[in-house]
Amino acid sequence: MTATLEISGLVKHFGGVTAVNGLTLRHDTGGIVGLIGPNGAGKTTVLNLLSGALRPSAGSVTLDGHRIDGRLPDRIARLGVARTFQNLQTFTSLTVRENVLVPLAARAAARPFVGLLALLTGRDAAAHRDRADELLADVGLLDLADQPAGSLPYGLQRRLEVARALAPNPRLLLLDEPLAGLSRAESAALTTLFTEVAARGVTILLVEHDVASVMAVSKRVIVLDHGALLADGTPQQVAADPAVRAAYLGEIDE
Amino acid sequence: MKPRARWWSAREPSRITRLLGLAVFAAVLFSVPAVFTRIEPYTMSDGVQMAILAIAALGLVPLTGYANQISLGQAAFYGTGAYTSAILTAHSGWNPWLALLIGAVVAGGGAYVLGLFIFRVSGHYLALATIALGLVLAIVARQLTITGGSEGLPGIPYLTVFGTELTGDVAYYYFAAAVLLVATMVVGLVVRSSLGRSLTAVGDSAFAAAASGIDIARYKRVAFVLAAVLAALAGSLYAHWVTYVDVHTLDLLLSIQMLIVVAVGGMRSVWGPAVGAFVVVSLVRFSKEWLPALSEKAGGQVEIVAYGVALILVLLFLPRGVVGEIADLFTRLGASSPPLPASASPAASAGGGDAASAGSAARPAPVGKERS
Repeated sequence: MTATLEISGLVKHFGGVTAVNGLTLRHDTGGIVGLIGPNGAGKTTVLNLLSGALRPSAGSVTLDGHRIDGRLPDRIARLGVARTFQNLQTFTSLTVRENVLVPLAARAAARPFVGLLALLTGRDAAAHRDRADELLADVGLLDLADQPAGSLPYGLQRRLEVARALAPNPRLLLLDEPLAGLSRAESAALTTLFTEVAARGVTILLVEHDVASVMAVSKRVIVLDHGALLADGTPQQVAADPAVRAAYLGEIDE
Repeated sequence: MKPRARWWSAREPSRITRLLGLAVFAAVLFSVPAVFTRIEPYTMSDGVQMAILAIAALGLVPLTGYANQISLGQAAFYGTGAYTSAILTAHSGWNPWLALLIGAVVAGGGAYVLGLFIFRVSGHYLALATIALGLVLAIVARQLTITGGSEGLPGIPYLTVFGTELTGDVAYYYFAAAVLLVATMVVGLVVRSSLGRSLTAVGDSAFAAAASGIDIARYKRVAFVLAAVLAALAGSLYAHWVTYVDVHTLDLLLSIQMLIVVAVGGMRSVWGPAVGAFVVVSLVRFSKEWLPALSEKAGGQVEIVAYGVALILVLLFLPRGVVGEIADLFTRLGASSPPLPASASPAASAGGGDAASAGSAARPAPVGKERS
């Protein structure tokens, strides 16, 4: 069963600026949900609110019935939300495999007593290594598993972030501009991967500037403007919406 | 097809190379007396100081080197250990070993409680809070009768190991070096464990670590407690060596000295503190030998200036510390030699499956366009 995400009356103020202004939406049919909007529309803020990097000023977020708003990021992660970042946030001094092992070990270590023991003995379950290698194979990084992550080219670090986000079997995957700075071929390979991941039952919320890519892979597209919902529907419906066309001033058919 | 791990660069060197490294380290540690008792201007007292300073600074490797948390409170815990040992042995006549253990527990417990508050917020609060802790403890130690006020506490007994009282500097050095060796092994285990890996993750990107499910406050706290326990242990060793403790053991300058020790030696290496302590104590020794020859008035202040200059030089020329730079040099030498497996080069491997990735190595990360 796919995840049920419910956002209700979500508000975020930064001083006098309202970045997110009463966003309400529900999604329970899986797949890739595109989240687009002009610069400053509040897309990244929404992701930060969902992942716990920011605390909402008002409103609530539930995932499968559990309240996640206002919780710390690591708690939200353990409740099934994973994310990537707009700017690369790989663990550059760890190896590629270790990057993926971090979330796997974090989950094991979160249990109070067993966790402390696991921390101190430091032995990775063989299962963790197998799972890490499986994930790396999925994103095509298995050959580089023992390389320092920081030595990887930009595009491959992007993939590594995706593998790391998928490691704890998230229910909801938040992607913050995963295609930024990638070549056409790299973008295509990565969007194919997202489609495969979504097919496995992970709900993906995709924030992306490349509107064409979003339209191509999303089953539902949500358009934000000034922190509020501007349009919501299938890619076809959204593309035909005059309000969306106005907000983008033709950016859509670049 | 896995690239072979090289001992100087891989985070997980083989067991044999690790034991070999440890054997070399032990051999160097235990040959120090043979050198220091023969070569001017070193004395064995310098050796003991180096060993104690290295133990005190060792906890900064996981805390500062890996988790990227700057503590200026190592001396606060060092002094806690020293005073606990002094009070319980000289004052109350307890067994020194029990006093040493209690000192470590008190320091560790204090660090844990402090950590509950400090690590809830991000930023450099740890540096500020630990400075404050050291200042407060120094004031308290100066005021209380039980700590001997500003005069300090004399009459701390020597330690007795296997029926031998450790009165001489050479004997004490061997003991302190053995403790340093064991402590180095323990910290080595920690940094290689999944705890060390998670601390590295926290230091590399706290955002991503939290999003990966790591309770970053808890991990920072564990590293902070470990650093406090090691500092307290070193403080107790110091108390039983000089048999006298005063408020200088809590000094901020000592905390700074410990940070300089790991910065000079290498923050990400368990050998770093020992190398750093050797450099820093040598620097102090030479400045004491030669500076009076240059100027009659050169005193304690000169030491501070020497630290400052040393730190600036290190940050300019050896940003990874002595051990880190040597490891780097080996890596570079290794990289230029021919037998590099095909898959060890990211570009080569990427070219196989995804030609587009190969050219992207030099591409800069895009700047954050939107911070909505």
